[in-house]
Amino acid sequence: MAPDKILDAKGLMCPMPIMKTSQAVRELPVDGVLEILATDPASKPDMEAWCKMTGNELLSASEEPGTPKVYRFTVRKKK
Amino acid sequence: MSEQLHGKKKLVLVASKGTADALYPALILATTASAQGMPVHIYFTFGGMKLLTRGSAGGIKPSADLGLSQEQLAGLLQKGGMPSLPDMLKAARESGVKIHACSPTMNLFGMTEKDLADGVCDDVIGAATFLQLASDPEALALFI
Repeated sequence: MAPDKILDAKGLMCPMPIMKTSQAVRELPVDGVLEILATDPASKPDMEAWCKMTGNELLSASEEPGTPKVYRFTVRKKK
Repeated sequence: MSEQLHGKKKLVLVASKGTADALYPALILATTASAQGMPVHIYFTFGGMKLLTRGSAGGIKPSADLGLSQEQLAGLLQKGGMPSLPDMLKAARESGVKIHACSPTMNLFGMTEKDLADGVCDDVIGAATFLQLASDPEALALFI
Protein backbone atom coordinates (compact mmCIF):
# COMPACT_ATOMS: atom_id res chain seq x y z
CA MET A 1 0.00 0.00 0.00
CA ALA A 2 1.37 3.42 -0.92
CA PRO A 3 1.70 5.75 2.09
CA ASP A 4 0.05 9.18 2.03
CA LYS A 5 3.21 10.74 3.37
CA ILE A 6 6.83 9.72 4.00
CA LEU A 7 8.87 10.98 6.96
CA ASP A 8 12.62 10.62 6.63
CA ALA A 9 13.98 10.65 10.20
CA LYS A 10 17.26 8.93 9.35
CA GLY A 11 20.22 10.24 11.35
CA LEU A 12 18.00 11.76 14.03
CA MET A 13 18.33 10.60 17.63
CA CYS A 14 15.61 10.05 20.21
CA PRO A 15 13.24 11.88 20.72
CA MET A 16 13.23 13.57 17.30
CA PRO A 17 11.84 10.64 15.22
CA ILE A 18 8.88 10.27 17.61
CA MET A 19 8.28 14.03 17.80
CA LYS A 20 8.32 14.30 14.02
CA THR A 21 6.08 11.22 13.68
CA SER A 22 3.60 12.81 16.07
CA GLN A 23 3.60 16.07 14.07
CA ALA A 24 3.28 14.28 10.73
CA VAL A 25 0.41 12.06 11.92
CA ARG A 26 -1.40 15.13 13.27
CA GLU A 27 -1.39 16.58 9.76
CA LEU A 28 -2.86 13.40 8.20
CA PRO A 29 -6.59 12.73 7.84
CA VAL A 30 -8.04 9.81 9.85
CA ASP A 31 -7.08 6.50 8.13
CA GLY A 32 -4.14 8.24 6.46
CA VAL A 33 -0.91 6.21 6.33
CA LEU A 34 2.53 7.54 7.22
CA GLU A 35 5.77 5.79 6.34
CA ILE A 36 8.71 6.53 8.65
CA LEU A 37 12.37 5.83 8.00
CA ALA A 38 14.68 5.98 11.01
CA THR A 39 18.13 4.87 12.12
CA ASP A 40 17.86 5.42 15.89
CA PRO A 41 18.58 1.98 17.41
CA ALA A 42 15.54 2.24 19.71
CA SER A 43 13.20 2.99 16.79
CA LYS A 44 11.28 -0.29 16.91
CA PRO A 45 10.33 -0.41 20.62
CA ASP A 46 9.77 3.37 20.62
CA MET A 47 7.46 3.31 17.61
CA GLU A 48 5.53 0.35 19.10
CA ALA A 49 5.18 2.21 22.40
CA TRP A 50 4.13 5.45 20.72
CA CYS A 51 1.43 3.65 18.70
CA LYS A 52 0.16 1.84 21.79
CA MET A 53 0.03 5.05 23.85
CA THR A 54 -1.66 7.13 21.15
CA GLY A 55 -3.98 4.46 19.75
CA ASN A 56 -2.58 4.66 16.22
CA GLU A 57 -2.03 1.43 14.30
CA LEU A 58 1.43 0.12 13.48
CA LEU A 59 0.78 -1.58 10.13
CA SER A 60 4.31 -2.78 9.48
CA ALA A 61 7.82 -2.65 10.86
CA SER A 62 10.86 -3.84 8.96
CA GLU A 63 14.62 -3.45 9.03
CA GLU A 64 17.04 -3.02 6.19
CA PRO A 65 20.59 -4.18 6.86
CA GLY A 66 23.34 -1.61 6.54
CA THR A 67 25.46 0.72 8.60
CA PRO A 68 23.50 2.11 10.22
CA LYS A 69 20.52 -0.20 10.01
CA VAL A 70 17.44 1.51 8.56
CA TYR A 71 14.05 0.88 10.17
CA ARG A 72 10.92 1.33 8.06
CA PHE A 73 7.47 1.67 9.64
CA THR A 74 3.99 2.32 8.37
CA VAL A 75 1.44 3.80 10.75
CA ARG A 76 -2.28 4.33 10.18
CA LYS A 77 -3.89 7.30 11.90
CA LYS A 78 -6.85 6.00 13.91
CA LYS A 79 -8.41 9.14 15.38
CA MET B 1 7.57 -4.76 27.47
CA SER B 2 4.27 -5.53 29.17
CA GLU B 3 1.26 -5.34 26.87
CA GLN B 4 -0.82 -3.74 29.59
CA LEU B 5 -1.08 0.04 29.66
CA HIS B 6 -0.61 1.50 33.11
CA GLY B 7 -2.75 4.18 34.65
CA LYS B 8 -0.32 7.10 34.51
CA LYS B 9 -1.62 9.60 32.01
CA LYS B 10 0.18 12.80 32.94
CA LEU B 11 3.89 13.60 33.38
CA VAL B 12 5.14 16.02 36.02
CA LEU B 13 8.87 16.78 36.11
CA VAL B 14 11.08 18.77 38.45
CA ALA B 15 14.08 20.15 36.55
CA SER B 16 16.41 21.12 39.38
CA LYS B 17 19.87 21.17 37.79
CA GLY B 18 21.33 23.76 35.47
CA THR B 19 23.51 21.41 33.43
CA ALA B 20 22.97 20.16 29.89
CA ASP B 21 23.06 16.51 30.97
CA ALA B 22 20.17 17.14 33.39
CA LEU B 23 18.08 19.47 31.22
CA TYR B 24 18.23 17.42 28.00
CA PRO B 25 16.80 14.26 29.64
CA ALA B 26 14.01 16.35 31.20
CA LEU B 27 13.13 17.93 27.85
CA ILE B 28 13.45 14.62 25.96
CA LEU B 29 10.99 12.94 28.35
CA ALA B 30 8.68 15.95 28.24
CA THR B 31 8.54 16.25 24.44
CA THR B 32 8.15 12.48 24.01
CA ALA B 33 5.34 12.29 26.57
CA SER B 34 3.64 15.19 24.84
CA ALA B 35 4.01 13.40 21.47
CA GLN B 36 2.32 10.40 23.13
CA GLY B 37 -0.65 12.55 24.05
CA MET B 38 0.12 13.05 27.76
CA PRO B 39 -0.33 16.44 29.44
CA VAL B 40 3.12 17.46 30.74
CA HIS B 41 4.29 19.95 33.35
CA ILE B 42 7.90 20.91 34.11
CA TYR B 43 8.67 22.76 37.32
CA PHE B 44 12.03 24.49 36.91
CA THR B 45 13.76 25.14 40.22
CA PHE B 46 17.22 26.11 41.53
CA GLY B 47 19.85 25.43 38.80
CA GLY B 48 17.16 24.42 36.32
CA MET B 49 15.95 28.02 36.33
CA LYS B 50 18.99 28.96 34.21
CA LEU B 51 17.12 27.70 31.17
CA LEU B 52 14.34 30.22 31.81
CA THR B 53 16.60 33.14 32.74
CA ARG B 54 17.32 35.89 30.27
CA GLY B 55 20.93 35.77 29.10
CA SER B 56 21.92 32.46 30.70
CA ALA B 57 20.01 29.84 28.67
CA GLY B 58 22.56 29.83 25.85
CA GLY B 59 25.55 29.16 28.13
CA ILE B 60 24.39 25.97 29.84
CA LYS B 61 27.27 23.50 30.16
CA PRO B 62 27.43 19.76 30.80
CA SER B 63 28.39 18.70 34.33
CA ALA B 64 31.89 17.37 35.08
CA ASP B 65 30.23 13.98 35.59
CA LEU B 66 29.49 13.70 31.84
CA GLY B 67 33.19 14.01 30.97
CA LEU B 68 32.57 16.06 27.83
CA SER B 69 33.21 19.73 27.07
CA GLN B 70 30.36 21.97 26.01
CA GLU B 71 31.72 21.92 22.44
CA GLN B 72 32.07 18.12 22.35
CA LEU B 73 28.51 17.65 23.58
CA ALA B 74 27.17 20.26 21.15
CA GLY B 75 28.91 18.44 18.29
CA LEU B 76 27.40 15.07 19.25
CA LEU B 77 23.93 16.54 19.69
CA GLN B 78 24.10 18.31 16.36
CA LYS B 79 25.12 15.07 14.66
CA GLY B 80 21.98 13.44 16.07
CA GLY B 81 19.71 16.25 14.88
CA MET B 82 19.04 17.41 18.44
CA PRO B 83 18.04 21.07 18.84
CA SER B 84 19.73 23.42 21.33
CA LEU B 85 18.26 23.58 24.86
CA PRO B 86 16.38 26.86 24.20
CA ASP B 87 14.98 25.38 20.96
CA MET B 88 13.99 22.15 22.76
CA LEU B 89 12.19 24.26 25.36
CA LYS B 90 10.42 26.14 22.58
CA ALA B 91 9.42 22.88 20.88
CA ALA B 92 8.15 21.56 24.21
CA ARG B 93 5.99 24.65 24.77
CA GLU B 94 4.69 24.51 21.20
CA SER B 95 3.65 20.90 21.74
CA GLY B 96 1.66 21.93 24.83
CA VAL B 97 4.12 21.26 27.68
CA LYS B 98 3.38 23.62 30.59
CA ILE B 99 6.48 25.37 31.93
CA HIS B 100 6.46 26.61 35.52
CA ALA B 101 9.11 28.84 37.07
CA CYS B 102 9.87 28.41 40.78
CA SER B 103 9.02 31.41 42.92
CA PRO B 104 11.26 30.49 45.91
CA THR B 105 14.26 30.25 43.54
CA MET B 106 13.40 33.67 42.13
CA ASN B 107 13.13 35.14 45.64
CA LEU B 108 16.40 33.53 46.66
CA PHE B 109 18.31 35.01 43.74
CA GLY B 110 16.48 38.34 43.76
CA MET B 111 14.87 37.71 40.37
CA THR B 112 11.64 39.20 39.09
CA GLU B 113 9.51 38.16 36.12
CA LYS B 114 11.54 40.68 34.07
CA ASP B 115 14.58 38.40 34.47
CA LEU B 116 12.77 35.53 32.74
CA ALA B 117 13.40 35.22 28.99
CA ASP B 118 10.45 36.25 26.83
CA GLY B 119 7.74 33.65 26.36
CA VAL B 120 9.58 30.77 28.06
CA CYS B 121 7.15 29.95 30.83
CA ASP B 122 3.44 29.74 31.54
CA ASP B 123 3.55 30.95 35.14
CA VAL B 124 5.52 31.35 38.36
CA ILE B 125 4.45 28.90 41.07
CA GLY B 126 5.60 27.73 44.49
CA ALA B 127 5.99 24.33 46.10
CA ALA B 128 2.32 24.09 47.11
CA THR B 129 1.09 24.46 43.53
CA PHE B 130 3.68 21.98 42.31
CA LEU B 131 2.60 19.43 44.92
CA GLN B 132 -1.00 19.92 43.87
CA LEU B 133 -0.04 19.18 40.23
CA ALA B 134 1.91 16.11 41.32
CA SER B 135 -0.80 14.81 43.68
CA ASP B 136 -2.97 13.67 40.77
CA PRO B 137 -3.06 9.84 41.05
CA GLU B 138 -2.70 9.68 37.26
CA ALA B 139 0.51 11.74 37.38
CA LEU B 140 3.93 10.23 36.95
CA ALA B 141 6.21 12.63 38.85
CA LEU B 142 9.99 12.58 38.42
CA PHE B 143 12.80 14.66 39.93
CA ILE B 144 15.65 15.30 37.50
